[in-house]
Amino acid sequence: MNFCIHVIGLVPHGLRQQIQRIMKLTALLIIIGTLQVSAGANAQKVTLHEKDVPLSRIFREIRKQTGYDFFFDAAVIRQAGSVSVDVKDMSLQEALASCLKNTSLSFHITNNSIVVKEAVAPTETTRAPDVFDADTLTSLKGKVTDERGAGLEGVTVSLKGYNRRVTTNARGEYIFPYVPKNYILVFSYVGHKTKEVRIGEAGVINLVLEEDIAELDQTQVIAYGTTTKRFNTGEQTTVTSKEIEKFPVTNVLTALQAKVPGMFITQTSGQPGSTIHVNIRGKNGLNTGSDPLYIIDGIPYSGGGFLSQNSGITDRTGNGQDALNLINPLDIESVDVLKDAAATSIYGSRAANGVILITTKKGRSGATRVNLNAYSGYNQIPYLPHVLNLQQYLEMRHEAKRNDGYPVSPGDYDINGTWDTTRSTNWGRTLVGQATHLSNIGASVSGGNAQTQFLLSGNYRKVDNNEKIFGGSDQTASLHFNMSNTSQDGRFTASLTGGYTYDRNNIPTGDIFSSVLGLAPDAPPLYNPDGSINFAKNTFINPLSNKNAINRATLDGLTSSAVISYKLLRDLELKTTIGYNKQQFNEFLGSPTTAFPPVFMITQGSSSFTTDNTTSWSIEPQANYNRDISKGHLQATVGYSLQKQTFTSQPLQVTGYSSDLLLSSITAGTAIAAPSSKSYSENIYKFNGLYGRVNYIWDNKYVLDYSGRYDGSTKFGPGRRFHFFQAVGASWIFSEEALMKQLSFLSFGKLRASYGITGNDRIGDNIYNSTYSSVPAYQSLPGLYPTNIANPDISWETTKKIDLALNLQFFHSRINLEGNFFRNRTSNLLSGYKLPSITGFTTITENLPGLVQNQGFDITLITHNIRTKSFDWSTTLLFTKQRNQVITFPPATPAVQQAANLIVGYPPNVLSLFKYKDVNTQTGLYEFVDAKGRTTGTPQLGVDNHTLLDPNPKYFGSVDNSFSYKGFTLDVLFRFVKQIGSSVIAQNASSPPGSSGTNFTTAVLKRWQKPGDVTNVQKFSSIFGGYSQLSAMLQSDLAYADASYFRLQNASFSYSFDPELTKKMHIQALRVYLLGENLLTISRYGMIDPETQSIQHLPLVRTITAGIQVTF
Amino acid sequence: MNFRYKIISSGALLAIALLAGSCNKAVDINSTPVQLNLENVYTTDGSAEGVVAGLLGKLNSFSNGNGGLPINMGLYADELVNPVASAQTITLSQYYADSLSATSSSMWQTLYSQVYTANDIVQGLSGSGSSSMTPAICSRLLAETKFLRAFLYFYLTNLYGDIPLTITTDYKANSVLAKSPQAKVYQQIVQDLKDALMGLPDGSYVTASGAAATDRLRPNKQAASAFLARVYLYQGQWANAEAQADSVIGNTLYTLEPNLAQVFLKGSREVIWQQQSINPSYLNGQDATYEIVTAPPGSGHVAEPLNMQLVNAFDTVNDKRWANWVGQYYAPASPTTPAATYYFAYKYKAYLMSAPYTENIVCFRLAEQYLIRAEARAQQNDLGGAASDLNAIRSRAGLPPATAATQGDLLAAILNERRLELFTEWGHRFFDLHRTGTLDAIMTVAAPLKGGVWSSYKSLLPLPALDVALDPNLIQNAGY
Repeated sequence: MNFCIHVIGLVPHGLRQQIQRIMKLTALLIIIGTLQVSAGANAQKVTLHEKDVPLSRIFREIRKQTGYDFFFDAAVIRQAGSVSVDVKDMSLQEALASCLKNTSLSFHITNNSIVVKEAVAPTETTRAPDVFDADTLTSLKGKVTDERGAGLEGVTVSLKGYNRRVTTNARGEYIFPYVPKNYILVFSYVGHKTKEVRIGEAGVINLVLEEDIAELDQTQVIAYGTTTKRFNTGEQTTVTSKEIEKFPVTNVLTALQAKVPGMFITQTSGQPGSTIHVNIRGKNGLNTGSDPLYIIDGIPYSGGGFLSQNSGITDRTGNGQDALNLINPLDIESVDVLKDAAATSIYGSRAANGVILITTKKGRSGATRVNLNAYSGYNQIPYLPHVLNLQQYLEMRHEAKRNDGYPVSPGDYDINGTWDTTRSTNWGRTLVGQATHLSNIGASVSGGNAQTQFLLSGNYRKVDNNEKIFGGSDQTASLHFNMSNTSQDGRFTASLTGGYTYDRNNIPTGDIFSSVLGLAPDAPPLYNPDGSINFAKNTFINPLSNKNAINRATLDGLTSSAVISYKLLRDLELKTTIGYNKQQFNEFLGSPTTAFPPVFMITQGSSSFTTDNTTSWSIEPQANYNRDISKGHLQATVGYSLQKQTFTSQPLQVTGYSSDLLLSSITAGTAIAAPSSKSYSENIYKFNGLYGRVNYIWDNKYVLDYSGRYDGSTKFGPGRRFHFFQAVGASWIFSEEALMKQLSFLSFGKLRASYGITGNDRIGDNIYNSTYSSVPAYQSLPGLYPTNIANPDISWETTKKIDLALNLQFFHSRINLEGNFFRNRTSNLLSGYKLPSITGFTTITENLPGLVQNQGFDITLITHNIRTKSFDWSTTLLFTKQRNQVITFPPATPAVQQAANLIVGYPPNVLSLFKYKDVNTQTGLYEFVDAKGRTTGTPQLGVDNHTLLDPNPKYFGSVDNSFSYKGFTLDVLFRFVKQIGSSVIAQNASSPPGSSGTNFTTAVLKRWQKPGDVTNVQKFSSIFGGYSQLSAMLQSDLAYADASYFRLQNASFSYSFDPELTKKMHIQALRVYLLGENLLTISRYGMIDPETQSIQHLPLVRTITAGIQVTF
Repeated sequence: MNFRYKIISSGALLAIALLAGSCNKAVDINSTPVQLNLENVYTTDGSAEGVVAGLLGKLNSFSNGNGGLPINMGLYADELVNPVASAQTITLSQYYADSLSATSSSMWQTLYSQVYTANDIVQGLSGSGSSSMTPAICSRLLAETKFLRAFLYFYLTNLYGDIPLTITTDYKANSVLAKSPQAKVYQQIVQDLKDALMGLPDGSYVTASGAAATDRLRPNKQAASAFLARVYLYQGQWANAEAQADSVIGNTLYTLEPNLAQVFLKGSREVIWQQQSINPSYLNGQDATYEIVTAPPGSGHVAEPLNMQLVNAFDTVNDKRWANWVGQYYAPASPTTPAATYYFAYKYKAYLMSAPYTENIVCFRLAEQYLIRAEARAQQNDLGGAASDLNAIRSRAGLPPATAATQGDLLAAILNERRLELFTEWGHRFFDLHRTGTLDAIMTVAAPLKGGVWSSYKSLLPLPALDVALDPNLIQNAGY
């Protein structure tokens, strides 16, 4: 099929099918006008008498006389101007030649059609020399090298203005056949400055491509397109595969943790696969989700977690399985984090939280390459909280009993002699304190030529449970592929990218870390001498019983996207992106009778089954228009987006198994019911929008960008669904001004500003409506229960974003300084508004009046400190400071204010706490200062909680130093966060220190013991006598402490062997490396991970791996 | 301007127009099978029956188990013991020590959330949508729901006194409601029950769809009468109470089970209305699980044995209720503690999670009706009639006729009989003490024994602090 034809002329019957095929194939919604003229006699002779008429008129006349159809590019024909022709009964061939003799057009007759086109436009990479007449070199060749003289493979060499290109081979060599003299060749290569060279008389052009340390002209992926850092009017950070592969992580978000200014990422647990929280430039709304929008290869991807049925108790992974675990970090080419309105507004409704664009690796032209990458290492819990030793524990328990005046009771096995009080176990070390193994092996094949490229990669990863005593592992196998083809004339491209990942996790449920504290040091041994689990005559709830619980969780993920584009005109491209993503979570939790201590008297096993599916498809046709207008370049995009996301959850709980061996069979139990923790649900979220962007770059100095989107979402009631979002951005590259060019030290300077409106609809589905959900059957009839109060008036939450940025580069980009000031203001706050429970519900979702602001700045400083032929040292410093606060909140009544819990000047998630005073020196109980300044032991919630704390990080950042010497590279990355967190004394304090059978951190040792003691820890108690003071303490400022930290987040060391050396072994490249993650933390927080801030969850693991990468 | 541009631009405009036109359509979604909403739920018999079934099932959340009213109020009064205070939930400990504070909200919140559902059903079934339902089903479901709303309000007002009376689902109006006096709440309860009497099946039991049922799992007309008898008794309307109890006792569907072991089983002929457990882990009610002691307290299994004051009130020799309804567990001596026997409520016996389904949660049973009529008759000075009703219960328990001769003695004997007959059921003990004005006297003695301090303001539970803060017109109960 010849795609170079534009169907503008006359369209007869025979060709209509072909046209329809083209239309179908490109799935474009552009209507093509047709003009029907009845076919005349099929004569081959032509008679024409025309003077100064457009060619189109002559073609129409010929069409009338011969019945031949014409195909041409109207622009080209128009440029040819008017012609005069006077022929009589001439053959078609001759007549046409006569018509076109004074033009640059050529023609070609096939079957019943005539194709007219520009004679110089090459449509094939190898063309007959006649096209370029005498000034053509039959062959141009050369070699492209880097600054150190090494050949660069995969450099694109193209003829400027034409779709002809070749790529260099592994040695950096290229051959370009038939090139016209005086035309321009463009050499471009990722990470290097693009160079243009005019073709002269010589048949050889050798070239050195400079590395572009400023990365100004590298392609940056933006919403629905690409640009360069130089011309981007939006605020975005790009992290490339080169940086990602330094992290031995299973989730790419972990690698981004210290790489993106303005983005704050926290992990919830050290368990493999656990959920990760992402926040870009602060939380904008009140209760709306703050997750950014994830787009993988142009297709929206639902991040976040899948909930285990086991989430009722402390979850294995904090919150479930994170869906981004299904994207192998090593398959990612780049991650672009879009932050301000100019960058994100075109995603309209979901852009308020920022957008993360993930671009997976694509095939590259060049020789077929095989790349193998394997690493292996271990995970280790870096430190365990210090808990009381046996002697301290026993002292605590007896002291508690003495304080209460209570005798030791029959149930106090730990101190009444039932258990051996001379035998001590360090439960931390016993249960979690060992290093466990992880390994990863991946292979990829890629290659192709100028037209077709492919990539195929596979990866297998296994991460063992950190709680070695329980066993189990998280295993992931993934496959990733990409194929793309460009037609010979460069106009039609089709590309298919996809991946499939299978993740299997059989780590027993329940984060056992809480047991580290939970168990008394004198608790009996885990095993009996015969190897069976020891329950010490039903006096010991052995955590190992959980080992018999079965967990089989699998997560399958398919991502796929197809992009078809067609260059309809030289400056108009039509493009459609079609995608389908699916993630499926299957969980089987088996509770055999042996999974419970015998004292629970469980006689029949039970099982839980969960099947959750998220599928989403999207179709996004778009038209891109590119044209040089005057001294500027205009780029316009208009498109339509249609998406549907379906989430179904099918949890089942089956009870009454006659045998533990049947647990995996749903039908073998006697009763099947919906579990209480999770219910069957099916949510359909439909979404569409119409978007557009106009971008104009004037003289490489001024850039103006406008984008807008008209969006609709099913999250809102009919009539409230649509909204228009827009943004405008402008850049001034002042270093291009003549005056500035005199400043030789300034290599680049750019001032940028943007303003726009984005939206947020991240609330649950169907919240605008009153809905009814299933509850277990009564009299065998499944019940229904109202699940929320309808509020048909809720609508979009909108965030107005301002961004001001300055980018300065000095001394040939050796110093690169970038500063951003941002302010996001969110109104129409979608929030769960508190209701008194007499209404039947405790919250209703409303758009609250008021304004929440996130304001701050971030600075990126990159310095290339030393840059010699063999030694490089560069430093990257990131710093972000931001503040989240409620600006206005017009309170209708004090109750409304109270209901929303918003305080002007403080963040929406402000902590309203009691003011802690002291531990009463006489009673040994906590005391607080009430609202009237009096000392009290029983402060009232809602009255006395006036101490306000901001739980959000005050500032954070990182320092990254990279060194390279010959083949060696060393990268050391530190990260720091200034914040407060739940204090150590507040951890695990839901029961008072001294209560039965629970151990505590050594922080409780400073407790009050006798009248006169001055301390901050109240007296031990075995009962709830001191409970109200304790629970008040947990809601006081004493329960929070400085949780700032400075962490050696990552270190990587690698050595690449000399290519000359490895070549003898037929190896293109050979690299060995050592990676370390979470190596050292400095914090005053003490004994608990300042990031997870929870003693209930495993601290983040320290990972050390060694690997090898070979390319053939 | 040449015609290629015209074509492209008109084509693009047309495309945009088409797309814009389709926008509204593309975000239309059809409600999915599980997404019933107010517009469609009360238009078919099936879904309306489902909502009523949902409400009946949700009653479980305060009917039994360790968050349920019977155990909470048993601990709050002098019926149950919380043996290992620190190992139990905070809420249970607070009930046990009579130290409830405004931070506790469980029963209030549970009850009002179900009141909302009841109001939703009443509104929905009275609305225009319900006209497409089968009229007989619609009117019965409405009657059942009014019965249930009365049931919820009965406990709300007895636990909390004067309370906001919500009878619609309008959250804007409800969120600023002030308390209604208890008398007005009772007026609503009586009205709902009288409405229910009209629409409930008479002398039979049905399933959701109206088919005949053997298990007595939905309220019928007799249940409404039995309930009315209790409501009148609590209000001191003796004649009304007697008449309603009469109508139930006189119905041949009900008889006092001679075998006490049968009373709480699902086939019991004494039962007027019982609830089914809907928790998939417990085929039976959960009270047994939280009452029956099978191991020394503190060894992991949570169970509340009986208070020794109640144990001592039994005639352990003759009273068949002692043998049938009270269990014993002997804990041998440990090095530090002497051996001890724990007595526990043994009305419900299925205590294992997946024990075969034999028991339901009894809400109304005939024995209470005898005792209501006895009390109503005694109050009206029909001492003979009163004694005969009281003795019906005593003789079933294997005890000799009561010796009380005066009205005062007889009332005291009836109160004592209620304690022994209805112990650990539905907070009867606490409410009886409260309504007869004996609460302070009894609890002043009982509270210190269980580690609490009694004050008379504790006869009503505290309102949740958050509700008081959010509703500007809601006032906290005195004392809290």
